Amino acid sequence: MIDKGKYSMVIFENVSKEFKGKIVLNHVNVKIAQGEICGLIGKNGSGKSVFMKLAAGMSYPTEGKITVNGKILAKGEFPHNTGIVLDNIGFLKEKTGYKNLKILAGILNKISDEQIVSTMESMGLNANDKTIVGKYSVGMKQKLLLAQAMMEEPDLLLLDEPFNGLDEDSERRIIELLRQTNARKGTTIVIVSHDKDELENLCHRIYKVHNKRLEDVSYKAGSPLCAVPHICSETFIE
Amino acid sequence: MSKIENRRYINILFVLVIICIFMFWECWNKQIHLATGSFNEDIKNNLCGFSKLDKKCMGWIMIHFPVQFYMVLKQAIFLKKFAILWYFRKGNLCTVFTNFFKLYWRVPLLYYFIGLITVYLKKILCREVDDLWEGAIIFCIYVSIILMITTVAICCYTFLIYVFLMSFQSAFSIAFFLEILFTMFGTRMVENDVAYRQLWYIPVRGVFIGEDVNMTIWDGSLFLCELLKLIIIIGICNVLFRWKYEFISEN
Repeated sequence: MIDKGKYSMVIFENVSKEFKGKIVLNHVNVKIAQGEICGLIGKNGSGKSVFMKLAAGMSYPTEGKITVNGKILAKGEFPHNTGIVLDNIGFLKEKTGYKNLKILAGILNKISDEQIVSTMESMGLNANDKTIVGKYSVGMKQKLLLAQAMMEEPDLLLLDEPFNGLDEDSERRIIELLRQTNARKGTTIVIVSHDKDELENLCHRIYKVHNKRLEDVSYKAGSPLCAVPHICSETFIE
Repeated sequence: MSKIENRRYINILFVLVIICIFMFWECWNKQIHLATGSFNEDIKNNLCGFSKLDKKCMGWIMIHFPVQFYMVLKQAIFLKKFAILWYFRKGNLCTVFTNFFKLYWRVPLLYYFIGLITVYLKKILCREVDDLWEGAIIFCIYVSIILMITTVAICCYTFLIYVFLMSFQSAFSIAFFLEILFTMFGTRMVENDVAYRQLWYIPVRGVFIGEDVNMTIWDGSLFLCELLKLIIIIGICNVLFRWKYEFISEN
């Protein structure tokens, strides 16, 4: 049973990020609870992806403090037990999807080959397919990215535009899979998307990145799941 | 033909053209010994080889290093995105290196093999080896003795260049500069330092090949050059590695 709301999985305290003097995020304060599915929407260049990279430890805030899974992220440190789908990652093009996942799984040695196969299948990918990743379609690559993020069943999933290039069926299947993972394991999920409708079907709470800050738009969006506020994240002012 | 295939053929063509240029250059200029980087007598006896670099020597440098860095850079760009996933799973350099080595030990091996063939062909074409069979046997012995050791050194080196490139935006130009610098120092060292020759070069020649064989390239001195470069680059990379994360995320 998930102990929802027990503690905050992701905490941004007064976090600002600047790139070459340009402020992208300005004094962001947010807490994302354990077991929550949290969505981020916003215009292009509003800072959604920067938020994700900060949470993933791939960028370091100019100001403020980020805590993930109870641990403050120091510079150059990644959060433990976290799956990521970010725009700057990729695969070995000359190897098959299965081989790519096997190489990655071999680093932590936490899961068996069968688990890799079943994760691929749950994404709608065939593990026996001998097609190399270089010949994958955009959608297939996206599924493979999701598979690598989810295969080790992490506590936290950071998904930046995970549904890009997916057809409707695949999107529905993956939304369902994310929902099941969240319900079964209590996985905290943070999803970035430019499509609010996509997120409303899935998220407990939705934030809009606006004016370099996070604005809670869940209630405005009328998300039914936000009727359970105690499990939800919150923005706060120090 | 797909875009990927097109690109592959263009790359192969590019490498072949470069090899042809190499061979042409080497045949044309017999005085320059390619891999040890030894220059002609006049330059060899000069202080560090810095003050009297002739045009031919500079020409060699200008061809050789862009090719080397083209290959390393291509590999680095290709691997960068995947390495993030390695590093993200277990944030230590050792894991990334082990995985890099497991996957790509063939790459530097192939690279060196191409180099060896190029040099050997050049020797045949330039009539530097009289007996082709003798040359071939020597060549094989050299390959078997040195290649595996050199591969490890070059693999480390390639990997570290890759890290180097990831670490610092202008690393390309810095690495290019260092490469030239190291080769010059390395050249001087192996040409003039008897101790280094005795350590590696003469035992191999004496036992397996014989003193009279005129095949002074792709031998232990090259290995030592590479090792020296490796040690220096490791030091630099250790410092530059700190900036890696920001580079990944902001580019």
